[in-house]
Amino acid sequence: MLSLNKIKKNILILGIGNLLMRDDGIGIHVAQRMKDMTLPPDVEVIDGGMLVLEYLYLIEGREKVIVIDAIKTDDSPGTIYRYKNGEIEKKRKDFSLTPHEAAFMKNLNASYLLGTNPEEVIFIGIRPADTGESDLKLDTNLSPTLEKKVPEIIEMVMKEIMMKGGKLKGNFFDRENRFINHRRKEMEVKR
Amino acid sequence: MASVRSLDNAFGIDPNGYGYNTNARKGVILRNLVEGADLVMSHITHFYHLAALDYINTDYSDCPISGVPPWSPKDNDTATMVPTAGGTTGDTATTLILHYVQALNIRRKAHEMAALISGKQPCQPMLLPGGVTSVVTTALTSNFNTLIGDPDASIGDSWITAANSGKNILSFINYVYQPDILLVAPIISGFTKASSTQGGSGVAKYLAYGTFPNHSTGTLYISSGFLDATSGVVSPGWTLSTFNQGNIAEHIKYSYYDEGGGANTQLHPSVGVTKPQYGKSGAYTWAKAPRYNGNVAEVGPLARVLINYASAALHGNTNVTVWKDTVDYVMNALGLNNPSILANIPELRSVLGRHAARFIEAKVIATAMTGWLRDIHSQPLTGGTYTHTPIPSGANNSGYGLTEAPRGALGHWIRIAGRRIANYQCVVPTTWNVSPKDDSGVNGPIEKALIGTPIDTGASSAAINRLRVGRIIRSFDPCIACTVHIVTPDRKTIDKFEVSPLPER
Repeated sequence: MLSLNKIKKNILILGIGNLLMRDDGIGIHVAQRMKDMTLPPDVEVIDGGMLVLEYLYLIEGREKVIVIDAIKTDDSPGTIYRYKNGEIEKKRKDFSLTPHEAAFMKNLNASYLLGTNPEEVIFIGIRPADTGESDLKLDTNLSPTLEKKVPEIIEMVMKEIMMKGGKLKGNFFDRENRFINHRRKEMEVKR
Repeated sequence: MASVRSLDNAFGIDPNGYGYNTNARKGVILRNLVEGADLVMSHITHFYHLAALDYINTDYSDCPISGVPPWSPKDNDTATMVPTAGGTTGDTATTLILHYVQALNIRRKAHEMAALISGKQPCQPMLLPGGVTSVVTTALTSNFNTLIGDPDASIGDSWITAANSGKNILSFINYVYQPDILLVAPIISGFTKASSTQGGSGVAKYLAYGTFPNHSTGTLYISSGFLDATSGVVSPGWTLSTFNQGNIAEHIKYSYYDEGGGANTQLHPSVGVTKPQYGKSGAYTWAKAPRYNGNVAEVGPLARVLINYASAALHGNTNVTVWKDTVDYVMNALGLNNPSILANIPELRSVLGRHAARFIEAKVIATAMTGWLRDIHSQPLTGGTYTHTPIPSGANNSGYGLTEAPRGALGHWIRIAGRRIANYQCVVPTTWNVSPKDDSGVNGPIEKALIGTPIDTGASSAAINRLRVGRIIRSFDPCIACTVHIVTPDRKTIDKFEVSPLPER
């Protein structure tokens, strides 16, 4: 049978969230825009939507996974956070009522149990401005606050692609090429 | 599935399959195989990955996986299983934890099995009105056989073994899931029986729309019906009546929807109105209150198992013998056979009953799927897997599609005007189960199951046992969190149902 692992790429950019709930879909918006960019051949972009335990199979055996999702904090809307392995998958003791709780974290924990965890996980979280509570309408557009943040988030993800274990990876030319390709595509989009 | 069946229905294709031309019967079988694989995947996921966590506590320093989320319920509870020091093999909790990990791979195989046909799981793109886009190949059936564990005639039954429980679905169901259900049941039985005082019983009225139409007769493998099982005795007492989708109506007195002066409530879904009115006086939920002939009803695996059982027990329906046999097996294994199984069947109207029903259904359907796969070979090799039916031009059509999602009866109603969708209403399984009070003030199934559940079990605050509430709600396998998933790094509880806390930074 066809093994998915054989065609998996080393680096995964995984946008997650609910596209219908405005800013909750920030990860999806970023993923969709990055799909249109010229990226290095070892990078795969997936619109992860809202899955339960299926992320487990998407992140399996990857060298690096960069997750983009909305994050709930008290800081001002549009604030961007970056967490790395060990900072996000700490032990939790809370009792919870919802079975879908912490969907991605549950997957990450399960990957450690199976020994299929990615070598490196970077979690980029964005504080949403509006997830639709204000007018109770479904909307696939981002709020203006978060829309403005998208280039910055993409820039962060691009940097992550070039990093391994906190250090720049590859030789100078690789990095330059990645950067130039990214810039060139960005210019094309603007035009 | 419900969506495509609503189009089948609107376009004049018989949703039960027997109206398809001979060639497209393969399409009916392929739909059944995908739906079956999804059901099996969902039940295994629910038991191991969503529900078992409520019963296991690994929060002990000498536990081998101490500190590994998510097994660490906060509340003290005597029905929580704690692994023995060092996590001895054979110890109930340790066994379940090991199977949790194994089940992660098995549910993946179930997804892969369906994806052989559907192209992608979940959210399969192969469905279209009149059938499916997939074609049958020998590679497909061979790979499907490998995953489900259906033995080749020449190999015999050797594929379904304890040793293969990590390799194929049927081995896992027979040698892991089955013993685990029986292992867990006695530990939690004080809480789970319908006769206990711990809550969880529910409304004892059950509804199923039925699904898995036979490709040549249209007979549903999971029967439809409405079962009134409020009596403590099956016979005489329980009544099973024929299902008719025309009897469904949605009440909205206690929901955040505009009643339109009374015009919008108690409507059949085909003419349903969904107009949000958040903060409406007296309302307390976004869920509507669907009712069948005015009756509250629980949907899901327990409803289906009891309806099929009652069909055999009350009406001598031989099509459902396999259901009765599997129920009888479980009842015997649980010791619920004195003075008779029939006398104890009402005990299944419980948390235990819902978990057991999920297992029973997974076993019955996975076994049936091997037969469906063989049925494909009895169909003509040439020909497609769908019936081409053009959209009726300019006609104002309406239709409905009914099925059984893993969580219960699912229906979609569509009205087409001028070749566009004029109205589309879904009544999903969880709406039936989390239903609020209806217009006459009758509580929904989960509400009823929770009423009377003792939470405060002693004088101290440590005796507050919220786990029971979680266990009761979770036994219904509700789908209530598909709204916003948000990560909370500082572990604050934000909202009980829509979002949830995460580990500390």
